[in-house]
Amino acid sequence: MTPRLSRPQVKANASILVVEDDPDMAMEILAGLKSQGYQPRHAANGTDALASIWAEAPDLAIIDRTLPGFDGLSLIAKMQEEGFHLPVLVVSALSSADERIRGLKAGGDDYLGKPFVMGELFARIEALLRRPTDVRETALTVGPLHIDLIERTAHRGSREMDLLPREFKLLEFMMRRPGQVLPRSMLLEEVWNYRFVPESNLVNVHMGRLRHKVDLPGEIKLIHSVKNVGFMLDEGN
Amino acid sequence: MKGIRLVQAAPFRLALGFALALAGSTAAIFAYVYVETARLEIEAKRTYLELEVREALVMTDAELIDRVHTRLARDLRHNSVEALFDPHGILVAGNLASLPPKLPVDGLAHRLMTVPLVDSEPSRKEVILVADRRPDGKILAIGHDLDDVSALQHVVGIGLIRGMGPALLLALIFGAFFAARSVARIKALDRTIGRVMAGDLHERLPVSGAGDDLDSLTARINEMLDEIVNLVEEIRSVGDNIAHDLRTPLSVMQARLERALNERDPEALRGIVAKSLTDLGRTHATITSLLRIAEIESSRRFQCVGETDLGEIARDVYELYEPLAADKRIHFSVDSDSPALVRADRDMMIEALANLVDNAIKYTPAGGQVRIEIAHEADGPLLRVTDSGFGIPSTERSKVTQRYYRSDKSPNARGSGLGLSLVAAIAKLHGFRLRIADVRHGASVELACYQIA
Repeated sequence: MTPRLSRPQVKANASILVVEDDPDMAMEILAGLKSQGYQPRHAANGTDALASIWAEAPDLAIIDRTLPGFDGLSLIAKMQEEGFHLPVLVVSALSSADERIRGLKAGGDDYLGKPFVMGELFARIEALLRRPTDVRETALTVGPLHIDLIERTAHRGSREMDLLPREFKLLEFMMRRPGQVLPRSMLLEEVWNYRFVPESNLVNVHMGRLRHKVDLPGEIKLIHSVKNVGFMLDEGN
Repeated sequence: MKGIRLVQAAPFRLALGFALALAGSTAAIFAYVYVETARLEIEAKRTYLELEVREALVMTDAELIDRVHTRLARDLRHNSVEALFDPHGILVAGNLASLPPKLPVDGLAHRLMTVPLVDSEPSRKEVILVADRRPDGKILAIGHDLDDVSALQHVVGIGLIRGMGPALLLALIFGAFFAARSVARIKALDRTIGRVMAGDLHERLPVSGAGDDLDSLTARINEMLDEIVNLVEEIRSVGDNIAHDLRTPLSVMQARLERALNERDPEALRGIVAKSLTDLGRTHATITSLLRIAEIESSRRFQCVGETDLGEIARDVYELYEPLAADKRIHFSVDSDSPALVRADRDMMIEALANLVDNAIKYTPAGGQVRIEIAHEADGPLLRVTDSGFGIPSTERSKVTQRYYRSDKSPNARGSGLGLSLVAAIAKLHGFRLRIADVRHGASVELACYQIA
C-alpha cells in the first residue's frame, strides 16, 4: 500500500539515518525507504547513531524514543550539543499526548506514534525534507488553482470557488505542500488543531466537500486520495 | 513498624516529658521557699544574739554568771551556747570548753562549723556565735545552733517527696495507659496494613470510634483503599476486555492468513491481505483508545485554568461533524446561543463532545435527527446530545459508560466501543457528570458541566 510519489524527491537520494533497536522494525523501515528512492542508514543504538552522523552527515534522522543505552531524547539533545541540526522524526510506541509534547520539546521536528502506516511515515519524512512555501506570501498558485490570502478568494482558472472558512484553510494548507502526501492525522492536527483521532473518518468527508468544489465533472482531478494515508494536491499537468 | 515498644510510643513520651517538667518546677518552688526561710531565720538569730551580747556586757559579774546558768538550765534541747571567760581565756561559767580561735571578739555574729564544748554537753554541728569583751577584760560568748534550720530543710524535703512522688507516678501511669492503648491501636492497624499489602485489598482498617485524629486518618485511608479497589477492579475488567477484543480479531486474522497459505489466486490473496490490514488497523485503534482513556484517568496535570465557552465548543464540533451528518442524510443542528462559561480543558471538552456526536451519528439511521444543545440547570450549564437513533434501553444505561460496552442493538455501527468510556473519564477528571436522560425515542446523553458542592 505504499504510494508512488508523482513528483521527484526534493533532494534526490536524500540520506536518512534510522535509529531503531528492533531489527525487524528497522528492516521494514529500511526496505520502505529504499523503495521510495532514499538512501537509508541504520544504527541500533545512540552511540552508533552519533558516529554515523559524524561520518555521513545524513539529511534526516528517524529516531526511536526508547533505545538501549541512552534514549532517543538524550540522543537528540547530544546531536544538538554537537551542532547537528538535521530534521528529526521521533517514532515511538509511547504515543500519548504528554509523550508527544516531550518529544517535540526535546528537539524532535515531528512525532509519529507506533503503530503507523508506512505511507504516513513517508509523508511525514517528505514534509520534513521539503520546506513549505513562505508563510508571508499573500497569494498562492498551484497549477490552475489560485488563492488570495488577503481577500480570502479562491479561483480555479477563471472560475471562482465559494469556500467555507475551514475549506479555505484546508486548501491553503494543501497548496503550500503541492505534490506531497498529507496524512489525515496531519490535516486534523494542522488544519483543525485537534490532537484526538475521531472514530469516524471526518477528514475524508471534509475533503470530499472541498473536492466537490475544486474538481468539477470534466475537469482534471487535482485532489487525489492516497489509500490508507491521506490526500495529495496535484498540479494537474 | 516491627516491635513498637511502650516507652517509644508518643503518648508515653509526652507523659514522661510532662512529669519531668512538673517535677522540675515543683522542686524549684520548694528550693526557693527553703532558701528564703532559712536565710530569714538565720538573719533573725544573728540580730537577736548580737542584741543579747550588747545587753549582757553591762551586767555585773554575779548577774552575768546567774544568767548563764539560768539560760543553760532552761535549754532543755541543748541548742544554746553560753560562756564567760576571764581575760586569760579561762572558762568562768558556761558550756564552751575554750574560746574558738576562729571567733573574732568583735560583738558581731559569726557562723562556725565546730565549737569546743565542755565534755558533759552533746556536740553541735553548726553554730552562730557572738563574742565581746567586757570593760573588765572578761569575754562573753553567746550562741545558738542551726538545728531548727536543718529541721526546716527536712520538712521541706519530705514535703517535696510526698507531694511530687504521687503526681509523677500518676503521670507515668496515665502515660503508660494511653501509650498502651495507642500502641494496641497502631499494632492493629499495622496488622491490617500487612494483610492489605499481602494482597487482601478488601480488608479495612479498624476504626476505634473515639473520633480522634487517628480515627479520621484511618477513615481516610479506608476511603483510599476503596478507590484503589475500584481502580484495580477496573484494570482487571479492562484486562479481560482487552483479551476479548484483541484476541478475537487476531484469531480471525490468524485463521485467514493460514488459509492464504494455500491460496493460489493472486487476487484472492490480495483481498485476504487487505482485509487483514483493516483488522490490524482496527486493533491498533482499540489499543490507542484504551491508552488514551488510561492517560486521561491517570492525568494529574489538569490545566483548566481558563474559562471555556461551551457554546464555542458546540459550534466547533458541529462544524466538524456537519458534512458527515449531511452524508448520512441526518438532520443535524446546534443550539448554542446562550453563553455558558465553565472551568474546563477546552481540548478535552471538544474531544468529549466529538465522541458523543460521533456516537449519535453512528447510531442514528439515515433520515434521523441529531441535536447539540446547551441547557441551563440550577447548578450550572450542561451539554446535551439528542438523537433519534436506536436508543439505549434503560437496563443497559449504567453499563454504557463502562469501558468496552457496545449495545447489541446497533448491528450496523462499528466502533471500538470506547467512546462513552472516554467521555466518562473526561467528565470524572473535571468533576462533571455524564448522564443518560430518559427519552421515548432515540437517546439523550448529557454532560453536566459543574461540580457538585
